[in-house]
Amino acid sequence: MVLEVKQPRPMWEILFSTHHTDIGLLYMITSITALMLGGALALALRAELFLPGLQIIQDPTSFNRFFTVHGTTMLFLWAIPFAAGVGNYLIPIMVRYKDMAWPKLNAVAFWMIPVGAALVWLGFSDTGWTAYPPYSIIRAPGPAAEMWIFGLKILGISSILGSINFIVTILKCRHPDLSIMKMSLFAWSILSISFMTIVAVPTFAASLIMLYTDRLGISGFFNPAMGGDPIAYQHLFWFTFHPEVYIFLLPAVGMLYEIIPKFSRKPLFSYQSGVAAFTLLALIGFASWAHHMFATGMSFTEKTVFMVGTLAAVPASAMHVFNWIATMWGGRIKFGAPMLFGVGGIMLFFASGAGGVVNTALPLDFITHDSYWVVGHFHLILMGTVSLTFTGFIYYLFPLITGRMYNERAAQIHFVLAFVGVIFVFMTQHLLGLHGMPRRIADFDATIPGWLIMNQIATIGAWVAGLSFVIMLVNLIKSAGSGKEADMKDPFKIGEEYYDYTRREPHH
Amino acid sequence: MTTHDENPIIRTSSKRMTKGILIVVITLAIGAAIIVPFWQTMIHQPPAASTLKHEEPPAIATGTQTSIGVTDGATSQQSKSNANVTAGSEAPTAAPAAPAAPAAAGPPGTPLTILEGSSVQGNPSYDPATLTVKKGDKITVTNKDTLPHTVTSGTGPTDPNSAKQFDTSILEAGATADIETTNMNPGEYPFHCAVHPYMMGKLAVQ
Repeated sequence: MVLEVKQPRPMWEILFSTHHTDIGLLYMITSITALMLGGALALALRAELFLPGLQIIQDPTSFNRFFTVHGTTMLFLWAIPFAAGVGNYLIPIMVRYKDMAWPKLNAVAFWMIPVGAALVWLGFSDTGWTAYPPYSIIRAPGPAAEMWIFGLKILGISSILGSINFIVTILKCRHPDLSIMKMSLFAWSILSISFMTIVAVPTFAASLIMLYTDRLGISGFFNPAMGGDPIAYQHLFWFTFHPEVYIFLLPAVGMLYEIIPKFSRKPLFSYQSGVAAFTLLALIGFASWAHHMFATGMSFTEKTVFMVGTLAAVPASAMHVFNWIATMWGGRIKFGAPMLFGVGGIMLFFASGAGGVVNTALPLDFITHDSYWVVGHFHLILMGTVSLTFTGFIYYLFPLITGRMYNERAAQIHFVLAFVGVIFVFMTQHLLGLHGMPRRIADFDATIPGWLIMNQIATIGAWVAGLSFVIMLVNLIKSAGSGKEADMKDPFKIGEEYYDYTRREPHH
Repeated sequence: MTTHDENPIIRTSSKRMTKGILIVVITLAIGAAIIVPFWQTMIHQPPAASTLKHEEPPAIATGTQTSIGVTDGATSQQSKSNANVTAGSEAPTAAPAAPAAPAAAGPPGTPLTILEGSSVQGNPSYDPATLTVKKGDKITVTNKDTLPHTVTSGTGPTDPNSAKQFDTSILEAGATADIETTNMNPGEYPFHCAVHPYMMGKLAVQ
């Protein structure tokens, strides 16, 4: 667990360090903890839906509180901090600089996350992670909703500070011999998401303040009783959070660019197309936010524009997928755990991408809107692609962080269980949506054909996936303390070079 | 002092690993000790916006129907029917100082109960299922279920005459509403729940 850079240091020295590896480590421990806690909530939610009626969670409000905190945790305390943690470890190595550009700012950005997390978790708001008005301003009980608003505010500031640091490190602190077009594609992915964060997040930060003053009754931006417009909130919200979808996804894409060429023992098929696709996705991410709101009564012209804007992301995503497949093609592939997770992530990326095309098609969107199809779709990308790839990268970085190897057999069992579990939960949820099950319900009508059995399949799948992540946690903890020592030149025995702290030739 | 760049990685031990995990677990335990006893306290305050009083827009009387006074400040809106709605004690946003509607203050009329569990299809919904009153009688609807319901005239939401005769609009759990039959002609009026269309009942006015 702990990267010991000099003879055993007291724990507090690691906690309050400003070095990028220490902060990266803290980011990762925080995000893996959040993954486990958010996952526990998800398992409780699925257990509740195993049978009709209320058994585990006693009232619908508590069910709402559970899924609100589950969503908030997984997005803002797992996906974003994990990407930032990996970035902290790798970006200074990749640009060959001694540290991040502003180490203290880096530490500040990290330490905002536990504060935001505490606000979200101690409040347990029931607004849903989207906090749509009017419910969130005239009904959602406080102080939980206020704590959620301020928690997200702090998390937003943290990700903006982190992004500024990454941009400056990559653009200004890069080694003079390293041109930007020679830089690793993972660094390109972090650069793209950092720019997207800086453009996207302030909109949501502003709407959070508007939400708060609306709750106080001072203003009525989104309060229909005071002449406000709840739909305006949805525009502001999705202007931030559709790009945010790519902010979750692109680090996973960058990680796949690290894993796939190395485990295929082949050079990357096309570096330029990877850079082009990152740039395109970073721009197109901003052209599609209103496809989340087709059912709010927009004009046909608006809907068509956003449909085309959404479909424009398909070629860029396909460029990435093509790039990976062409890299693997004809390579001597070694299916170590990171490669298994990577390939599984690519397969599910294809499936969830196809579901996304269905969602964005105007007539089909009205069938799937607010149904379990949507839940299945975004979980398939966030769990199936993003989280599985991130998990693969935990295994890939494990020797770099701890100097030890994890148990490969346990990691492969983890992959099989997680992959099967994910397919059982989220593919079934797509079907449930087509059978008309609305999202965000604590109880369901078992007399509707198919609902009961599909909910039970989904619950069993979720528990299988949950079990697989317990196996991972035990594996990581055990191996970090007493695993086999890794060969730091080539820990996976694939004949490719690994990251090396000592080969940075600092120029400052 | 050695730097991170000069020193090789020194591998951690099981003992230190345990120490690190303890730090995480203790932090989480402190959080749990705060959230578990205060689970309900964290959601007991209605937002300030819900307790503000707004000027009520003049009610629009349609046809023979009279207006209703809505006492729930959060959902002040124009109404379309001749029913008086009082917010139930369990509704979290009930305005504390909101004035009671005049008609609701009177003695309760003929009771019509929305039974607990009526949101599940197949369960008995309204008690009595066929309510017989004399013209001019007042009917007091009580929602004893844990979910919102309505008593809306018409055979279902697709009935073109739905809610033309009477409509309590949304009744929160525990809330009551009055339906006046003064303007109704003798006859049979089917009613349903606009939220759960399979909940049906019948009103006979003599």
